Amino acid sequence: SPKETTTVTEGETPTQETPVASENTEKFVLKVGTVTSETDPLFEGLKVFKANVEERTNGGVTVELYSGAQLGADEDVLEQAIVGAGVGIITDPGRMSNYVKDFGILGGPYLADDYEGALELMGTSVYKDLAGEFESHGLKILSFNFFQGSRHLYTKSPVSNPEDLKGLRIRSSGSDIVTKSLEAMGANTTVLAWSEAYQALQQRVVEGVEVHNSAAYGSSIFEVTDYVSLTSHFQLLTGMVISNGWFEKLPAEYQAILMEEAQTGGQHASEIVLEKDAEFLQQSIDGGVELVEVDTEAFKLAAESAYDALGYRELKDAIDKELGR
Amino acid sequence: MTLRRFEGIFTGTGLAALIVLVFSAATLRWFGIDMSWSTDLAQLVFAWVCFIGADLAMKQKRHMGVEILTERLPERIRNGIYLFNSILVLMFLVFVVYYGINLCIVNVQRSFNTLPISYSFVTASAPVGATLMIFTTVRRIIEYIGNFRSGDYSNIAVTHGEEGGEVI
Amino acid sequence: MIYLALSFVILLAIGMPIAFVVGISSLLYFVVENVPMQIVVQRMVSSTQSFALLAVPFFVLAGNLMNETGITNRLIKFSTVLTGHMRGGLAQVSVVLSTLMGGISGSAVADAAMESRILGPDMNKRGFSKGFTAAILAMGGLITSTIPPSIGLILYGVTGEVSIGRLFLAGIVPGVLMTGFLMVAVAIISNKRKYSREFEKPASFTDVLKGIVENIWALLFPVILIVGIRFGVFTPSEAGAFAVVYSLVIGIFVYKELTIAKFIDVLKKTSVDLAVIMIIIICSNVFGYALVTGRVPQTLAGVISTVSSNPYIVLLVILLFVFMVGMFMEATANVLILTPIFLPIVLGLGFDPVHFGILFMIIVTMGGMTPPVGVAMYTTCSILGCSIGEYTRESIIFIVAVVLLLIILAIFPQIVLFLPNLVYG
Ligand code: NA
Ligand code: NA
Repeated sequence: SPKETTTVTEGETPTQETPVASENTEKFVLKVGTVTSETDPLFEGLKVFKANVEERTNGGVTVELYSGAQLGADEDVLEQAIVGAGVGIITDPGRMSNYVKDFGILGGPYLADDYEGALELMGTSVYKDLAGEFESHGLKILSFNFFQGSRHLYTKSPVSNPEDLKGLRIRSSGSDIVTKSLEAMGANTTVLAWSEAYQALQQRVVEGVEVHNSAAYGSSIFEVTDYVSLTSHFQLLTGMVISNGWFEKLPAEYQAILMEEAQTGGQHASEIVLEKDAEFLQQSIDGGVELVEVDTEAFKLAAESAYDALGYRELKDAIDKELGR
Repeated sequence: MTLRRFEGIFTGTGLAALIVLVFSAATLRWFGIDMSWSTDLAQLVFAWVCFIGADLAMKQKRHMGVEILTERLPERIRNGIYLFNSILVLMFLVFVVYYGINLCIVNVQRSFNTLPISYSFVTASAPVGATLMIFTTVRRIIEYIGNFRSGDYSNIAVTHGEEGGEVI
Repeated sequence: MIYLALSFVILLAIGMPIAFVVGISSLLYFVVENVPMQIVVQRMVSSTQSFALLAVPFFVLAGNLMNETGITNRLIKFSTVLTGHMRGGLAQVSVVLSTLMGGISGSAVADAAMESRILGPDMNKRGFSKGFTAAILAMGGLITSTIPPSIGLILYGVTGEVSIGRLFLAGIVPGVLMTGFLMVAVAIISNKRKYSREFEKPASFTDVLKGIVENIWALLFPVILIVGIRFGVFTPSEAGAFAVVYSLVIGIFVYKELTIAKFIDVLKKTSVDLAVIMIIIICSNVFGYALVTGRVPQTLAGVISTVSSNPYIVLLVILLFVFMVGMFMEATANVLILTPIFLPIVLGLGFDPVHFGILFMIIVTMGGMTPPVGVAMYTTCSILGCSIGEYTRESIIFIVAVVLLLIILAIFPQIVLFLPNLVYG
């Protein structure tokens, strides 16, 4: 609304109605980082975001993109945003849960069955309330629809139900949600950096990894595993999170544009991911891994106890109720 | 125990701890035992070794600069330049202490990898190390001012003789 | 950005320690650009939170331990057996010693300092000129830092996100070639000046074999290191911790020369050595944030692309620039500041990051050996009581030898890359 942005000076009537764009002579710069490379579909989404924001704000907001963690790790950029720098990052619910603990549930196992299901989550009042809480921590979620893929199991022995997973050492990122979920599904976990996963599989330090198809193919996991089980236990949903202090300085019109275009950018990136997912899976299969028939319902049932272990029981029930399941 | 001695023991012990932590984690991993917390702990220790060690190095005048211009100047002027440098360094360190403490407080919720502690325990190494360096810098500033009074500049001599100072 | 550049040059010129030059000029950028100050502290701290960087303290410690464990003394004896019969015998010994030390130590300066103390006095007694002695002892360190392990390559790998395993493998052939080039340069001077030999005849085969057996632990180490990293037995950082433990075991149980008191002394010395380099790394990380968010690499890439469209000429210009900067600034700061600027540019031109890394690190490290400013040079000159002028005159032939090698390595990337490509595929 123009009311918020008009600077009142002597001799000027505050009620004067002029188009917003011409009033906003102040320029804003938003630096958005991601830890992925520029070839990642995520980056394509960011490019759309940048182009659309700059066009619709007439250059009032410039978006600079930084790939490969140039601004720092996710946690670092979140910290920069909290102290008020004009920065943002594409990050996951696990890291966000440092600030609003319950938000971590969005990374929970089988909370959604696929991308469409994940989008439904964004419509629930549970999500909307949680997302709003970040503002008091200095963070603003522009959109949370950057889908990076469904997570599956790539293993050395065939896994079709939780029984098969018993005693297998599966690599975890170290996030509580991942570790507890894998344990609930029956696995033992070993925490490793993703960059070390390949060698760890080679030496049998771990006997499997849980990963999405594009990353699995990108790291040539098919060379060191023999089976893939399409468990789809996580829907890897990430979002664009920026500084709330910076966001609140923007004119309302710009704020709306940023929110809308983050949504568009996320959708664009997600579509590319969905389009390429089958392709990556096929390439891994061509590379020598065997597709295993999976009893998804059994895994779903087993994974449910992770919500108790993580202290998310009530919240999980509330989400189930709202989605009518 | 003097501060210098404490810093020496702290950094030496920290360094030894780093080896134990990283070596044992790597060895145990071969047996399938997960000790990822130990590499995280190593990173916490490393931050502290670096920032406390920085003051130790400063006390020994081991931080190097380019002296080709200054060493040609008369001692009195050089003393003045060093005084100016030290005051700038002091201001920089004060910034680090102030904003470092602020950062520790503002983002105390940030967790530290797999350890159940706040990342502020890592961040705090910077303001603590900078505080120690402030003591050292202030002492040096007093020395430089004293030199102007006494007219004796013998203690500002640049010694390239100190071995090392760079490990590449 | 102009404030950053200006304050950087002025502070550097008036002799402020490089770490604070970098820190203060970055701080000024944050003030001018209105970036929250807390980020200065965050970038300082986050620079220490890289697991890969832990390799630095470990390899510095492993290198410092060598002298106290008895490894160094045995390697000197072995080097003498190998090259003592050549003209300028001790100078040739020093070159070979740098090569053998290179398999455990990753630091050019540490090698130059150790050799100046141990070999320097004897070289003077043999009648070698002070300038010649200081120059070859300093330049020999360049071999030590090129052969894996290498602190410089670790820093380049961490900063540029290039595989440290590949970089280590790529350093082997250039390091060995450098040994050859420097030995030829030593031979030319020694023959001209009729410098003395240690022995009249080359050592017998049995003497060489005895030397190998006696030094087997030190000679084996680089092999274990490379194989271990390649086959994922350990990461480069874990390899560093392993190197320390390995040196300890040899010093205590095999050569039985290391005592607790000596070990504590080495720990103390290493923690200060480490702090000196880490504070530069810490402040450079703030500088890096300023450069990246100030879009300096992109701007500079634009400028450089107007120089020439021939990638080799651009590479030459970059390397020449690095050489000039190296004359005045120290290696650590140069790696951390220049890598993020130039690596994207050379990648864009189609050069391999490992190939560029070897060329870049040799030149950056050589900065410590070229006048007017250089720690390796100061170190050898002060231990040997040599003037910088004398050093400068006598170092020219060795610098020329290394530059020749660099030209060959630049034109034929396969010399650098065939080993890493062979092993990693
Ligand atoms: Na080496
Ligand atoms: Na130099």
